[in-house]
Amino acid sequence: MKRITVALIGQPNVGKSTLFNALTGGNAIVTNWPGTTVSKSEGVIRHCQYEIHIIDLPGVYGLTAFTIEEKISRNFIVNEKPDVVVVLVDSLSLIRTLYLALDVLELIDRVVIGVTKVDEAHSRGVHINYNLLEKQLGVPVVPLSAVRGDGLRELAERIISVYEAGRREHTKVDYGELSTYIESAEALIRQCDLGLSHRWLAVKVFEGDPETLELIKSRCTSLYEDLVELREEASRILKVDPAVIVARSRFKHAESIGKTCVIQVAVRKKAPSKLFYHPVYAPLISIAIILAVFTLAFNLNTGFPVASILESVGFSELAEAIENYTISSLIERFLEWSSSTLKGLLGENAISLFLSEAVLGGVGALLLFLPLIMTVLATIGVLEDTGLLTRLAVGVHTLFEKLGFSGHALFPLSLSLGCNVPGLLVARAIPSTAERVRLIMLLPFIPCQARLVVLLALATAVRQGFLLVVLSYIVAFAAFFALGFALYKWSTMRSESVEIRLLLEQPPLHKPIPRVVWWYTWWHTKHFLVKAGTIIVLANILFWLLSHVGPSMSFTDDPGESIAASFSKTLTPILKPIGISGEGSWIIALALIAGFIAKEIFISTLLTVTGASSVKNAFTTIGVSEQSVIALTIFVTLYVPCLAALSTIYSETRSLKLVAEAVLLMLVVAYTSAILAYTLALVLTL
Amino acid sequence: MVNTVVGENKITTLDKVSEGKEVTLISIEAGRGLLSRLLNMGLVPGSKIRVLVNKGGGVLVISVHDTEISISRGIAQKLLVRVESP
Repeated sequence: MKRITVALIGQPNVGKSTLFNALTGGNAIVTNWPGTTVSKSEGVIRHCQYEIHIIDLPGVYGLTAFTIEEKISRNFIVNEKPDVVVVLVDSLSLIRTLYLALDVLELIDRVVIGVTKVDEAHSRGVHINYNLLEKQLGVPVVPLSAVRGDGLRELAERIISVYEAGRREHTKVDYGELSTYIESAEALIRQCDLGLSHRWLAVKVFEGDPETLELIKSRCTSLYEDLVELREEASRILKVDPAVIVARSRFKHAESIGKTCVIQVAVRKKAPSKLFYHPVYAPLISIAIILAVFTLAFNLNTGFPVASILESVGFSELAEAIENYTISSLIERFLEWSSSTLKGLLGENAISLFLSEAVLGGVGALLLFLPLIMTVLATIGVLEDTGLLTRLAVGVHTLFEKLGFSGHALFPLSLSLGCNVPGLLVARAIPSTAERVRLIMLLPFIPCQARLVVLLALATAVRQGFLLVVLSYIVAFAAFFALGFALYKWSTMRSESVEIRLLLEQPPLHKPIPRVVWWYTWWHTKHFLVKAGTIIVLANILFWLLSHVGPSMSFTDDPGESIAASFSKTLTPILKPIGISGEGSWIIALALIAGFIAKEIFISTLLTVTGASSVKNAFTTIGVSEQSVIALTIFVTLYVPCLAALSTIYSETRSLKLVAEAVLLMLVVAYTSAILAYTLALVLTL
Repeated sequence: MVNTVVGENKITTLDKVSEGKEVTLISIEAGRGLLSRLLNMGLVPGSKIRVLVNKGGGVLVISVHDTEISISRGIAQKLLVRVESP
């Protein structure tokens, strides 16, 4: 078997992820690019006597490296030297997407061009002469339809033939008035061989690519000054930024190819749906759509809010029926059954307790949240695939702008409703660094599905449970936006870069394709499993041990005797201001510590330590009043979501200071809000 | 070629172009990072831009090289364009 390494690159929205999934059948290994949290997907396909390793590079508009994604894609192609590079271009906007292809073709000699979405192009009256395109580009061109699976086999064959055929001439774009300068730079670079196309490096110098300049500065120090001077001279004499000339020339080249190879038959062009851009209706419609789809997803997961509403108006039987068949209750029942089966098989001893509670508890928590998160992810997948999500982002932009966020914040926000971890990860795409940091600090306030489950459990202990859950969400979002606004104003005062920018490509609207939605869901779910999964399982085991081992390092049945208990007993004075005091108050402190690790352990700790059968009974046993439960619910909503979220904040910012600040902020806000809620509840019930 | 002047060519920023008009991009006044992103997305001087949505406030939607792009007003103010009146 011969091994071929292939880099898959393309501009955003050309259908790269879809094609990657179609090629690898969803069997990709997801890891991170070294030193970053940008995910790296790698898949293998076998064809004839070849093992083709495909590495999916982040979607980029060009090879000039200004963002993390651009740096990764550029450096992989430049430094790792894959055997073949497959560049995807979009048949629906061939000229624009050929831009990246030309950038690659000037650097790499083994290239295959994949033309995506050919099924869609055909129905829109776009006809492409692939043979001519192939001739003009000088490399194989393969028409593809990931959804129908067309062209996948041919792509593999072409990759192999290009791999075996070897070198070809690099494509030469005519850079017009900049040509003589590029040639001079090329001659300079030739003196110091960097093992890369001299012309490409010369072009990158004029584009101002930071990585190329850095490379030349460190490896060809003597040339650096000359090259920078050459660029400045070009800029001065031509009176245009050379980067603009490069881009313009490359586009001209792409356009000339497009003109000869593409025939656009006039089909009725759909006018852009202006509804999403209306200054008044757009935000309203966007918010209405978002509320509607998430209500649906939440209901499927937990029965909230429909079952709760039914119950409060007196249809308790119907409500119960709905609740019994929600995803979370089905899984909970399964877990209870397996835990008691395990205990029955092994008898009640330390090992069976450890297995059934610590290990199965952790795995169970994961099992419980997986489908809940997947429902939310699938919902967002539908919005994303249809092209609605970017329109909704525009719809809310004007509103968000006033609060210090851009429309870009919509993606991380809605993902966070499922799980904060993927939400924090996609915040990376936010162009403004200041806004991104602000968002990362505040996203943990958005209640995820784990917190929703805990909130619903807590709500059973009060009379107006439904209202309490709704109130918690309102408080959470209010905290998010109020603090966002405050931080925004603060950064304005310190006159950091504060312009709130939106720059979003709007892909054409279409019906959702189930397979693509599934790929999207699974891809993000893998992230949750890898990043949050291990932490949840390990933290559960650790916490179980701490609450079952006494200070003398011996196993104890009574959690009251454990290390965790003696620690939480020192924390009880903190609970006084929300009306929780007395003998059993340490149990609440213990549960809150557990919730710090992962929210769902809050409830299980409460139940196991008190030995109560329901949350309501547990509170009665400890002696917690209804007002205190309300305060506690608010506290649980706002304080640290889980260790996984904290570790993601760290990996995204590489700043322990920022993590500490975020934790402090959450604790302060949660505590103040809880005290406020307690006081209000007391006043209102008196 | 007959040189007939039909109306005046007006230079303005993109945010001032009304809906439905087609203009030519002349230059971009932005820092390196934003400039590179705009160029790579097809907003290259010389490109024809059609303004699809411009309500005088909020986000603009433009079409360039067959792609719909929404941009905030702040960015639109950095794009210098020529309006060719018929």
